[in-house]
Amino acid sequence: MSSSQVGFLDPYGDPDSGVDHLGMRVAGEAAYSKLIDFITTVAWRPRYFSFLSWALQNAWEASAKKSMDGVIKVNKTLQRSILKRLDYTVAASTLLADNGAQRIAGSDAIHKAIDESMQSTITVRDDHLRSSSGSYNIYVGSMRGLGLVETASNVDRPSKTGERIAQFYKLSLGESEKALISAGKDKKSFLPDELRGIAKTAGLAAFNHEKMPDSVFEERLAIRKMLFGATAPPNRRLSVGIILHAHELLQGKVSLDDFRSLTLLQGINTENGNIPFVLPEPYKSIIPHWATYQAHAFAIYALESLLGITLDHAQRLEAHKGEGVDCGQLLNFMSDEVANDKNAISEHQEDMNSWWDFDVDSLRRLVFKHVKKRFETELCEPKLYATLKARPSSAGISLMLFLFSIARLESLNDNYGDAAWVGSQDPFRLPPKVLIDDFREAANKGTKVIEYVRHIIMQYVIKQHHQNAMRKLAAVPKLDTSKFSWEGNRLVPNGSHKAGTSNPRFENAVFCLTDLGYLENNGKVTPDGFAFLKEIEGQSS
Amino acid sequence: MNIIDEISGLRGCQSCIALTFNIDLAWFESLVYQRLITAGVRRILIITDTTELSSTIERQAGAFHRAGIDYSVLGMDVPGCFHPKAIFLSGTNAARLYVGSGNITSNGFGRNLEVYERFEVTKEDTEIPIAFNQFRKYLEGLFKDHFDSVPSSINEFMTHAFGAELLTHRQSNNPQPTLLGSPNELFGQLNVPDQPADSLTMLAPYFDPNGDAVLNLAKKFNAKYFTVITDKRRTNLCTIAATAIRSTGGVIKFLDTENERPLHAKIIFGKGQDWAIGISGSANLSNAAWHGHNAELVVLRRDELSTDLEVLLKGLNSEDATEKELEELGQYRLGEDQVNDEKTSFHQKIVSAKWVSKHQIGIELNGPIAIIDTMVEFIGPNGLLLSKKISIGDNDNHLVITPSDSVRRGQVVSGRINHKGDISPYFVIEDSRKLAEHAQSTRRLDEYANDLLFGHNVENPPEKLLKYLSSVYQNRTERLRNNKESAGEDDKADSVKQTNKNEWVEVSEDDFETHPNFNHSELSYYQSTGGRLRLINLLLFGSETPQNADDSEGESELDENGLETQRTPSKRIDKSTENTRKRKRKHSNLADVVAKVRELYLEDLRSGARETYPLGRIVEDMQVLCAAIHSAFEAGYISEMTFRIELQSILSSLLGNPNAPFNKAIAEIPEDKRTEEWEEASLLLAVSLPLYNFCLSYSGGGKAKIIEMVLWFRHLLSFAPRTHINEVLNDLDRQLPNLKNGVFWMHSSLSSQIELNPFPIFLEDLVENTYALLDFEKVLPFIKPSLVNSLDSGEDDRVVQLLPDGQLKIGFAEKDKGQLQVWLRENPFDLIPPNNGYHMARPRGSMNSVFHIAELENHAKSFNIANRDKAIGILKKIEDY
Repeated sequence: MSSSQVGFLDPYGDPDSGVDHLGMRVAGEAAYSKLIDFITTVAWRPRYFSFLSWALQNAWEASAKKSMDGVIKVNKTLQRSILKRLDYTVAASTLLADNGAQRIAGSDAIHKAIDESMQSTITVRDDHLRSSSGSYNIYVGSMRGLGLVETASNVDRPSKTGERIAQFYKLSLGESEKALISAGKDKKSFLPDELRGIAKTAGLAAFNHEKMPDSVFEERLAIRKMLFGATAPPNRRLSVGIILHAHELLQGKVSLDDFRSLTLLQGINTENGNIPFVLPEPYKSIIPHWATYQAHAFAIYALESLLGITLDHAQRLEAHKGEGVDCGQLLNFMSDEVANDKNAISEHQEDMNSWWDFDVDSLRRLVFKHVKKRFETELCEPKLYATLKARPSSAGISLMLFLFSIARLESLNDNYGDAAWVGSQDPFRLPPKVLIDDFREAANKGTKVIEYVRHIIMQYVIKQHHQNAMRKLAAVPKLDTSKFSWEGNRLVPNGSHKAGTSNPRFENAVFCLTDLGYLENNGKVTPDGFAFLKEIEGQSS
Repeated sequence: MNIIDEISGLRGCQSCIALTFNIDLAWFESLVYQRLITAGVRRILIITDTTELSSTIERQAGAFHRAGIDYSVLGMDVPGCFHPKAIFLSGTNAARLYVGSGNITSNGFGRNLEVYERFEVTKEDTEIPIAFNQFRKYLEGLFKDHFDSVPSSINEFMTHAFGAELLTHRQSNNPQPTLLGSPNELFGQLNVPDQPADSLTMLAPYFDPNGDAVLNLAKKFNAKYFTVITDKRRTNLCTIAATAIRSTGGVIKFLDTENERPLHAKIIFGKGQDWAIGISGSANLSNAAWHGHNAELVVLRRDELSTDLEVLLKGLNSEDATEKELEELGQYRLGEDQVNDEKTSFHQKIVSAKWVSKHQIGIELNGPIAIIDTMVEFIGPNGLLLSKKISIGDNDNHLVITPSDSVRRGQVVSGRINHKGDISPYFVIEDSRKLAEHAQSTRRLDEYANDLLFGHNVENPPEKLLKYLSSVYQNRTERLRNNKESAGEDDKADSVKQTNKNEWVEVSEDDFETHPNFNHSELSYYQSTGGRLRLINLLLFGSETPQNADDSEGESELDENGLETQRTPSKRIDKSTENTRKRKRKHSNLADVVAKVRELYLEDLRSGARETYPLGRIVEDMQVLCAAIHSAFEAGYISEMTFRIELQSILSSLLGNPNAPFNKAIAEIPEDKRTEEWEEASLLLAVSLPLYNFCLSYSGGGKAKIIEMVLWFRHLLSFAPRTHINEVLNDLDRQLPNLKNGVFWMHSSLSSQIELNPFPIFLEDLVENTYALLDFEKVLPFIKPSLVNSLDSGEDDRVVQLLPDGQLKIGFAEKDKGQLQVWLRENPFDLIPPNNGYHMARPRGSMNSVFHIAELENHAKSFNIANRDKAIGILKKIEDY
C-alpha cells in the first residue's frame, strides 16, 4: 500500500574510536612483522607455543574420528571447549602459583574467579577470554607462521613440528598430565593446591624460573631451537641479535625509545653523553631495514600528532556546533601555529633561526646537516619526539619531527635504496617512497615552507584521514571512524585524536627473550644470550 | 527513520535523483553509493548547489573516485542558494521519495537533528501519492530555469526515473501530504485558513536579522502567540531578532543541548479551531527561504495528517530561553542558506562538461565566451591542478580542450574555466559512455538471478550468466579481502555466535595444509591477467576442458570499447595447436589455483560461516554453482556423467542434510515471514529446477529418481508455507514459458528427457510425495535402537529411522545368529555408495529416544491417515532402489 511517513532521522552514531586514523601504521606493521616474526602485538610468552601445541593435540585426538573411507569427522565445538578449558586450567594454575605472573591471557577474569573462590575449589571455566578457543586464537597466527599447526576446512591440528614441540611439553608435565587432560574433558573443579602443583610443571611462566625441572629446561631448549635455530629466517635471528646487543650496550633494561634511537641513529644521546651503537659486520644487512622502519614510524607519529592538533583547533574555531570551520581558515590557523612555534626549534640550534622563511630546498639542506650528525645533535627524531610528548599541542615540533623523518628516510634511501623498506608499498599508506618523492618535488619546485606546511596538513593529515576513514567505512558500513565530515568548504569536527604508537612488539620480544633465558629480568644479557650472539655472528660472518 | 538502512532494504528501484545543498562526496561514495548499488540502483544523479559543489571538489579532490564515471553530479545555479534536500528512487517494482532537511553528509544523515518525509509506492498499489508527480514538475521547473535547453543526458535521467510503469497508476484523491517548492516564492504558495491559529510552533536553526520571516509567518497564521524553538549552539538568531519575535507574541525556546543533536531540522506546525497545518523540509525561518531567493522544497500536511509533526515537536526537549541566553545571542551572522560573498560571479553557466573523444573534453556554456583569453584548469584524480589553454572551439558556446596526458578519460576529472581572472565554479567532467555502461551493463545480482531463472527479456543467456557470475565473483572477492582484513573481528564474532549445538566438520588427510590461507598473489595474478573472465570460464567448464579454459591466458579479446569479451566456444576449439604445450604447462599451475578457488567457494558454503549466511546468499550460491554446470553441459563442454556428478556434489552440499546451510536457513525463517520469503526468492522453483535437471540426466527422464529427491525435499517443505506451494503449483502453467527462457532450462541437451518427464508433473509428484512422507512421519510408532531385537519383524522387513536432526533413513532387518540387525541406507545421492549404500544401525541404548527405529508396514498400517499407502510406497521404493 502506498504510504507516507514523517519523522526525525535516527542518530547517525558517534564516530567509532578505531585505530590507525591515517592508515599508515599498516605499512609499518608489515615491516615489523618481517623483522620480528615470532611474536605479535598480543603474543608474548614462548611457553604458549608448546602448551598450545599439546592442548591442540589433545583437543584433536578427542574431537576427531576417522572413518574407514578416510573421512575425518571433527567435532569443532568439542575441540574449542577442550582448548578453552585447558587454557583456563593452565592459566589459573600459573596465576595461583605466581600472583604477579604477567602476560597470561585472560588473567583479569581468572584473578577475579580466584578471588571469588575464597581459596576453596576453583571451577574450570571457559569464559576467561572472548575468543572462541581461548588463548589459542591469540597465538594461532604465530603458530601457523612457525609451522606448528596445519589446517583444513577451518579445522586445526598440530603439524609434525607441532607434535614434536607438544611432546616436549608432555614430558615436562609428568604426573600433571592426567589432571590436565581431565580438566580439558569434564573435571569440574580443582583445589588451589592441586593447581599450584600443576603449575610447577605446566605453568606458563615456568621458563622464567631459575630452578626449573630438567624436562622444562629441555622444552625451553627445543623452543629456542625452533625459533632461533640455524634454519630460522636470518631476519629473525639478526633482529634478536640487535635486541641483545642493545641490552649489552646499555647494561640493563632498554626502553622502546632507546631501541628506536639505537636502530635509527646507531647511537644514543644520554645524560652521560653520546654512546655509539656499533654492530658487528653481519648486522649490516638488517640495520637499513630497522632504520627505515623507525624513521617511518616517527613520520607517522608526527602526522598523527598534527591530526590531533588540527582537530583541536577545528573544534575551537567552530563558532557554532555542527557548522564546522572554513577549511582555508583552519589551514591559515594551523600554519600560524607552526610559525608561532618556530622558536621552539631554533632555541636548540641557531642555524634554524629563520627556517620558517626558507623555501623547502633550503630547509631540506639544513635538516640534512643535522640528519648526518645522527645521534650527536639535539635536533634528531628521538629528541623531537620526546619534546612533542611533553608538549603534545605543539604544531611546530610535530612538523619538524615530520621533516626530520622524511629527510632521514631520504638519506637512508640514498644510501641503501628502495629495498631498505620492507613494509607495504601501497601508495595510499604513504610508504617512504611517496613521502620522499613529494618532499623532493617540493624542494625542486622552490616551494616555500609555509606552502609546504599547508600542503602537509591538507594532504597528509586532513585528506589522508578522511580517505582512510572512508575506505574503512566502505569496507564496514557501520564503522565510521571519521573524526570530521566535509560540508562544502567547511570541515565539521566530530571528535579528537591523540597521537600514539600502537606497537608493543619490541617489549613483547624482550619479554619472550627473557622467558627463553637470553636476558635476565634486569635486562642484562645472560651467558646463553652471549652464546647465541656468538653463534649467529660466527655463522653469519 | 534511517535512510541508509532503508536504502539497503530497497527492492526494485534502478534510478535515483537526489537534491542537496552540499555533499560530502567521499562519504557518499563510501556509504550511500555502495548501498544504492547493492540495492540495484544504477542511474544516479546528484544535484547540488554550484558553489558548494565547487568547494567540495576543490577540498576533496583525490578523495572521491566515481563522480562523473559511475554517477552524475550537477551543480545548480539559482539566485540564492540551491537548498532543497530530497532523494527520489524509482524502478520497476517500487518508488520512494524522501523530502526533508538533511544534506548528503554524515551530519545530514543523522548526526544533526534532521526531519524527513518518506513517500512510498509499490507496483501492487493501484493509487500513488501525488507527491511523485509534484516532484517531477518541481525538477522540470528547476531544469527549465537553469538551462536554456535541457541537455539530453538530463532528459534521459528524467525519462528513466519517472518512466516507471507504476508511476502511471492513478493518483490518490485522499487527503495526503503535498509538496511546495521554490524558487517560486514559497510564502505565496502557502494557503492558511482565515481563522486565527490557536497555537503555532516554528523550529529551525537559521533566521533573518530582524526575524522577518518568523513575523511574517506568524502573521500569515494569524497567531497571537507562537513559539520559536532553536538551538543556541548553532543558531544565527541574534538578540535584535529575538527581541522582535518576543515583542510580537513569540516565545523563544532552546533545545536541551545535553539531550538533543545539533538542530538542522525545519518544522512549522499551526493549529486553529477546525484546522491544522504542518510543514517540514528544507526551509529555514528566513526570507531567503520563504520569499524566493533560494530553491527550497517542503512537505505540507493538513489537518489530521499534520498531527505527526505536532507529536515530533512535542517530543523535543526544550526550555524557555533565559534573558541571559538571549543577550548572549549577540549580533547577526549569515546562516548556511543565505548567499555569502563567496558566490561566484562567473558570467556564464556550464550546461555540460564531458569527454567527447578519447582525448578531448567538450564544455558547453549557455552563452558565448572569448576563447582566446580562456584557460581551463583541471583537477586530476590525484588532486593536482593543471591548466590548459583552449585549443579548439566549435563556437563561442562550445569549448573543446585536449588536456595533458595526466588527465585521462576513465578517471575522475574536475575543471573550472578561467576567463581573464573571472573564474567559474568547479564542475565534474562526465564520461557519458561509462555512465551509460554503468546504467545498463551491471544490474542487481537478484535481477540477474531472476533473469537466469525466469528468462525475463533474456536475449543472450550466456552473456547474462557471465555477467551474473562476474558480479558474484567480484562481490565475493571483496568480501574475501574484507574478511581477511578483519580476521580478528571475525574471531570475536565467532565466539559470540557459538551455540550449544555441536558443529561437525568433515576433512580428509589430504586437505591439511600448513599455510591454508588464501594466497593473495594468486588472486592478484588472476586479476592482473584479466583472469576474472578466465576464472569464470573455469568455474563454468571445470577441469574437463582445461586447454580451452586456459586459452585466454593473457590473450583476452578486447572489443572496440576496450572491454574484455568472452571468447566463443568455437574460437577456443579452433585455437592453433602450436600453443598446446605451453597451455598444458600453464594449466598445471592454473588447475591448482582453480581447485583452490572452487574449494573456497564450496568450503565457504559448507563450513565456518554457515550460521551467518542469509538465505539469499545461499540461494545465490546454489544458482551460481548450478548455472555454471548447466551452462557447461548445454555448451557441450562436459559429459552427462560429469554433469550429474558435479550437480550432485552441489545439491548434496546444499540440501543433503538437515543441517546443511541452506536447509538451516530455510528452517530459521520466522513463521510469519515464510510466505513472503518463499515468494521473494521463488524458492520452490529455484530449488526444484536443478533437482529436475539432475533427475533428467538419468534414463527415462529420471522418474525413478524423484522418489529419492523426496528425502531431501522433506527438509525444505517441512518449513514451507503450504498455501504458497499450492499457489505456485496452480500457477505453474503460466510460469512455464518464462522458465523455459532461463539458463536453468535444459532445452537442447536433455530435450528428449524433458518429454518423458515434464517439469509440471515432476514438481507435482515431488511435492505430493514429500507431503505424504512428512505427514506419515508424524504417526510412525518408533522404538529405541536398543530395543531393536524386540521388533516384531521378520527377516528382510523394511524399517525406518528418524534421526534427531530430521534425517529419515530407510533399510531392512535381517537376523544374524539369532540377533536382529538393521541395515539403513545412507545418502541416496551417493553414486557408488560403500556397502551398496547401507550401514548397520547399532543399538545405542543411551541415545536420545528420537533415534527411534520403526518397522514399516505392520505398524504403520494400523494408522489411518491420508496418503499413508503413498508414503509407505515411497519408502519401499527408496529401499528397493
